[in-house]
Amino acid sequence: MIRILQDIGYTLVSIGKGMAVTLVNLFRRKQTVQYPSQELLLPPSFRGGLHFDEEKCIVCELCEKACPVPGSRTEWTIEMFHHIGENKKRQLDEFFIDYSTCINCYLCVDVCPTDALVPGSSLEHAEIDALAAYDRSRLIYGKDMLGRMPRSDARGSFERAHEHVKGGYMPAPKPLSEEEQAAGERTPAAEEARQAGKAG
Amino acid sequence: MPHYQYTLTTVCQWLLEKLGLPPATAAVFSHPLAGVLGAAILLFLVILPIVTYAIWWLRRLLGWMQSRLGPNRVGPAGLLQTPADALKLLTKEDIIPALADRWVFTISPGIVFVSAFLVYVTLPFGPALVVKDLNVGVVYIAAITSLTVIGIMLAAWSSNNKYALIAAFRSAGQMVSYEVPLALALLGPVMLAQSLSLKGLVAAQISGGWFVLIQPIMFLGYFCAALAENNVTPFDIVEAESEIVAGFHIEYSGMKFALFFLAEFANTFTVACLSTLLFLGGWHNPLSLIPGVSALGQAALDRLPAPFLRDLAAQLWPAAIFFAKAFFLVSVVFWLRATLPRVRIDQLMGFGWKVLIPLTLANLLVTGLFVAFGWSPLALAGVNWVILLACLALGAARRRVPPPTRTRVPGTPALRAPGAASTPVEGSL
Repeated sequence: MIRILQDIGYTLVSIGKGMAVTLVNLFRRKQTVQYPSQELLLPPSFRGGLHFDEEKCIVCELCEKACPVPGSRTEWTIEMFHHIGENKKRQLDEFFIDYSTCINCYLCVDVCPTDALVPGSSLEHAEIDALAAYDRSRLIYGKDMLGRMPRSDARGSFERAHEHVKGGYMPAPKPLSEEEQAAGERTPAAEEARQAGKAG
Repeated sequence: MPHYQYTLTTVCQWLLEKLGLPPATAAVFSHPLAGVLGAAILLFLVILPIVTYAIWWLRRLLGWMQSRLGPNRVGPAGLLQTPADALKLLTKEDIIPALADRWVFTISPGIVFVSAFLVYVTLPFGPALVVKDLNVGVVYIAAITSLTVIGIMLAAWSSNNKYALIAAFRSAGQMVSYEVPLALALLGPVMLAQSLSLKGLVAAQISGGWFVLIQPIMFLGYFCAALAENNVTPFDIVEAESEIVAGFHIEYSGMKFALFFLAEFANTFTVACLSTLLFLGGWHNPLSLIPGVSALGQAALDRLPAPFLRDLAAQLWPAAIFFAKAFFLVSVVFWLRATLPRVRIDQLMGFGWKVLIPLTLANLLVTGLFVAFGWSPLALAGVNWVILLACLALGAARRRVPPPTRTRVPGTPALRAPGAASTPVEGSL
C-alpha cells in the first residue's frame, strides 16, 4: 500500500520536474534565426562560397589539379586560363568555378600557396546577384564574380556568432578577468576563481 | 435583464421576438425550439474559432517549449495559419477508398465531430451563458463523450484498413476502460454538491469552496482519466503520430480528416471546461474573496452608462473568468504534451485499472462517508491533502532508481566479474 502511494508520489514528482524543464524553456531565448529577415551571424571560420583574390594568384594551377569533380562544361570544376606575359611570368586570363558541380570540398583552398582562394561567407550567392539560375551554365562564375564574394573573416567574429546561443542552451563564454588578461594566460588561481564564479 | 434567470436560449428567443418579424414567421420563431437552435448556432460560432485557435496556440506553445518559434509567418503572429490549413483541407480531393463502406465512411467523422460539440449544449460559460442547463448535465456529458468511441470504431471499420482497425481497437479498449474512472471521478463533486446540474455544481463551489481544494486527488484522477478518454498525450497511443501514421483515421483526407482533428481539440477544450466547472469553481472569481474587491467591481459596473451595458458586463465578466481558467487548463494539457513521452499500451491499461479505478473508488467511498454522516468538507479536504502530500513526500524522498543491469546473453562474455551482485530494479507500477 505504502509502496503504491510512494510510486504515485514519485510519478507526480517526476512529472513536476519534467514540466519545470519545459516551463524554463518556454521563457528562454529561442534558437531559431528567421534567416531572410534576420541576419545570420557567421563565425570567421564559416566555409561558404569561395572568394578569389586575383592579385594574390600566382597561376600555379594547383587548385585546378586538386579539384576532384569534373565540371559541367569544363574539364574540372575549377578551370583557369593564362598566357605567358612579360618576364616570362604567367598572367591570369580567366578563372572559373562551376557552382553547378562544386561540392565545396575546399581541397583547392588547402593547396593554394598564396591564399588567393579562401572560403567566403556567402550562403546564397546573393552578393553576386546569382541566387538561382535557370541554366547550369549560369552557375559558372568568373574571377570578377568570385572576387566580389565576401571573405569569411570579413564578416562576423566568434563573439558575434555566439550571439545566437546566448541565453539559450550554451553558456556564454566568460570574459577574462584583469589578472588573466595581464598574465596573458589562465593561471591556476584565476582558473579556480573562474570555477568558483561559475558555481556561484 | 435580471441576472441569473435567463439562459442563452431565452436571450436568443428574446432577440428573435425583438426583430419584429412578420406575423406569419413570428409563430415559427417564437417556438421554443427556435431559441434553442439559435443558441446552438451562436455557441457553435463561438466554440469553433476557439477550437481553431487552440490548434494555433498548441503549435506556438510547443514551439516555444522546444526553443522554436512555431508558426508565425501567415498573418500577424501566425494567427491565420489554422484558417489557411483549414482552407487547404477544404480544397483537397475527397478520397474514399474503393473497398470502403461509403456511407459509414462518410458519416463517422460527423459522429465524432457532432458528439464533440454536443457537450457544449449543457456547459455553462456563465450564469446565463448556457444553451440548456440540464438537471442531469453530468450524466449527459458522460454519455455524449462516450459516443466518440462509436464514431472512431465506425471510421476505422468502414475504411477497410487493417491498421486503422487495430488502432481503433486499441482506442476502444483505452476509452472504454478510462470511462470507468472518469465517471467515478465525476461523482466526487456531484456527491459534494448534491447536484448533477453544472450550474448547481458551480453554485455549490461558490458557496462552499472549490472542489479542487476539497478533493485534489479526485481532480488529478479526473484530469488523467479525461486526458486518456480524449486521446491526448501522453495517452495518445490511438494516433501516435511518431509510431503509427494516424491510427484510426489513416484513410481520411481533406475535410473529413479536418473534422476528426477539430473534434480532438474540441474534446481537449471540453476537458478544460469540465475541470473548470467541476473543480475550479466555474466562473467564481477567487479575487472576490478579498474584502473590498467585489465592492470595487460593483462600483465599476455601476459606472457604465447604459443599463444594457451593465447587464451585458454582468453576464460577460463571469464568462471571462471562466474562459481564463479554461484556457489555463488547455495550456496545461499542451504543456503536458510538450513534456511527457507516450505511455506503452500495457502501462496505459495498468494505470487505468490498477491505479485510477482503485484511487477514485476509494476516494468516492471516503467522500460518501463524509456526505452520509454530514461531516465537514473541511475534514475531507484535510484527509485528501494529508494523503496527497504524504504521497508527494514519499515520492520525493525515494532514492533514485539504479539503472537496470544488463542481462548476459548466453554465449557472450560476461560483462562484469562473475559473482558480482546485480542490483535489482526497484519499483515498477
